[in-house]
Amino acid sequence: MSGALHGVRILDLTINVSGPFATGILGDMGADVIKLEQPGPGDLARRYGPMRDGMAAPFVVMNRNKRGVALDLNAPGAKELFMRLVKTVDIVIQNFRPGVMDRIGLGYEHCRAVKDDIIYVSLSGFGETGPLSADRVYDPVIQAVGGFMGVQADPATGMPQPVRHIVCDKTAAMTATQGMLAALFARERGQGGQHVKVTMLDAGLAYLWSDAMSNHTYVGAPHLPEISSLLNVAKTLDGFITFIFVSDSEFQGMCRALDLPHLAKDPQYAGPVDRMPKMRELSNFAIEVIATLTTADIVARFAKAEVPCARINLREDLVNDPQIIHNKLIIEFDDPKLGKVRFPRPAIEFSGTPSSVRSVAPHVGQHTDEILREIGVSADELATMKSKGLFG
Amino acid sequence: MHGCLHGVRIVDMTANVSGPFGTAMLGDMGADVIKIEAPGNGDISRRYGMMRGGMAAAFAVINRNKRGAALDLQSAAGKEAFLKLVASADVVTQNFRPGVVDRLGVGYEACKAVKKDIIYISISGFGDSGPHANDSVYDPVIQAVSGYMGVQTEPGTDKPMPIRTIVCDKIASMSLTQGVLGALFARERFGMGQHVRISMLDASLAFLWPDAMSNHTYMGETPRMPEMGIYHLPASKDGFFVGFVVTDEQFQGLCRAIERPDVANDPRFVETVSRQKNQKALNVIFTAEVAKYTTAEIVARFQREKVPAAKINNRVDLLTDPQIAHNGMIIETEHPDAGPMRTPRPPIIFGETPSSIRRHAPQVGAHTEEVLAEVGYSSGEIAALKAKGAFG
Repeated sequence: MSGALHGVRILDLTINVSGPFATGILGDMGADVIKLEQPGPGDLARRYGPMRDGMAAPFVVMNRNKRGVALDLNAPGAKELFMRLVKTVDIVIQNFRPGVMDRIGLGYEHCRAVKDDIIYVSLSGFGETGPLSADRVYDPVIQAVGGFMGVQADPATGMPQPVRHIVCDKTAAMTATQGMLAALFARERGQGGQHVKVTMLDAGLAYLWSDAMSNHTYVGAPHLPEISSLLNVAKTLDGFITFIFVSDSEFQGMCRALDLPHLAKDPQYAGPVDRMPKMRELSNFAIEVIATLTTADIVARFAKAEVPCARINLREDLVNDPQIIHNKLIIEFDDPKLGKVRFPRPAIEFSGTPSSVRSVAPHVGQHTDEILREIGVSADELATMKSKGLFG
Repeated sequence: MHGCLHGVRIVDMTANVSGPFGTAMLGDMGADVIKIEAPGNGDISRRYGMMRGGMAAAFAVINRNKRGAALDLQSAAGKEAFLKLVASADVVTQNFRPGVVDRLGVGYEACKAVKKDIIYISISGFGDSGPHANDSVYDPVIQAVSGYMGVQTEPGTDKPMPIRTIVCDKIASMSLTQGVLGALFARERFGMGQHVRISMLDASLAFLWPDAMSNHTYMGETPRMPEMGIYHLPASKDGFFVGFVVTDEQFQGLCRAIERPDVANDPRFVETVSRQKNQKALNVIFTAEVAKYTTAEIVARFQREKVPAAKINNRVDLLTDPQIAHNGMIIETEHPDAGPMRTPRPPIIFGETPSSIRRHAPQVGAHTEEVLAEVGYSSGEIAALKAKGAFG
């Protein structure tokens, strides 16, 4: 059985992370994703991070399962060829700056004119209009404006801190993935195609809000400690753990595991609502005891008392974690040029329409000839196009 | 105009965040989401964090667009009513601990028996089996095991740090949304339902990996690069600021913005790859220069030079940020029990099938009789179910 999106074809003009991470997920589900790049260096993300064979590692992971076409959109005749491609696809996705695609004649209306039920997805940083819409955007800019760095601020000093991975690009990508899937379903049910817009700022805020902005949700209510004050990182004799106690039974379990019976009986800590404003002081009692124990000892004690707890994996621990190994989560892909590449398999396990990783990322324009032949471009036409410089 | 999922019914047994956050997004798209809870206290997250009108703020945001049905799945009558609801539904979601739904008789096979093409989604913390499968799980436990806390380690120290939002629950939830949508599309095309399984661990690692694990992707000898998410947040005269360059043009713009033409020609920084390697040295220069300006001044300087940059918004700033306001991202509404509240609007803008917020989060079982009447129970039959303890 093939993936859920078997037979769906996507023309992907996006670069960096917000688009490619999304089309990577759809490719896992079986979609035929055609990555269209400018001839030459192509997607900027090709060169960001550790490189091998001219390709950076994050690029190779995010652009798995895609085929590459190089097309110089400014060359004469390129637009016609682009529209021939559009006629054969279900989705066009782009993350140029607002207005660019319309200006060069490749916007939603242009594509709809050749493919009536096209699903056209536009990803932007801040939106198509508004005070910041023309700004250059990378992930940290959206982390700053969208509140991630403020929420991540050190509770003791108030100093903003970044989330140390590309969280806003990837959240926008997850959101865009949902937009594409839902639009495909609606089209299947007779709704036709449409223009779907996702901005990184909106997606980031919608993602962040529920727990992180809980003190600003009910207008006029007195503030409580943030939900993140439940989070604990504690040093043990030989490493670090995290633990959390929310329900009464977890609180009682924590007191048993750490031999703190006086806390368990103290009426000021009875019930989750009364405990909430006092979580910091309660956690500090626990952290003092944990510092005197080994990681293995404390993890075993908490497990026995049914208190959620875990050893904190550093980057190099991940590939050796017993549960990650058990889940067969990290696949190794042997590429003739790149050598061995490892990354997680698709996270969603479909019993009927399994997702799969079928290839790593293409080089710029690696499949140009193959794809153009598929859409009916003859060998002669191809030669003419080449001589006109369409492919760089 | 209807949302993409108009006419789709979801019977949602999930609690906390990993499921409900995802089914809310499906509700935004027009699905009829029926939240099944145990009679009495219901979902534990009803009582977590800021409360008003008997409902926590985060719960009110995450459970928008749902109807509530209280059913005691341990009673025969409750189970009978549940399966009758399933027979009218397209999707069932659950995030009990592994094995519980089968023990209760509401697992995939039981649901398939009453609705042949049902799409059944299971979310677990660690997976259905393996060393941690039966552990108690909250977000920080998955943050610890899947590497988020390790990746967040403060540079220059060895101390892991938490992400201060419920990141792993919410990522798993976005994967649930994608799993439901992918399976709905496949059912429309290929005609079959299926069991879709997602673990928080798998979803979290797949999300984190591409950029954060870039030094661990190419196996064998590959020169390491500085980690990608080490965003530098220098202090201005009156606050904090983030600026970020990737391309050579942006780097030249940065040097003009801080009036350091000497740095523009420094061979350590002139090109993308060498700049990544010498990021620390560049940050030192950058920090000293940024301290000379107010945040407004330095942001304006960067914008003039077309370099990505922004002021860092704290929680309160989000409520008045001009671009967020322009985008209409924050909706003010009135919950019948909790009073005036703010919530983000659905972030995906569909041109033809708009998403919307149509309902407030329900109290436990607020719509039990209504939904049972819809699936064909007479008022006499509902009274009989009640007498048999179906509703607690």
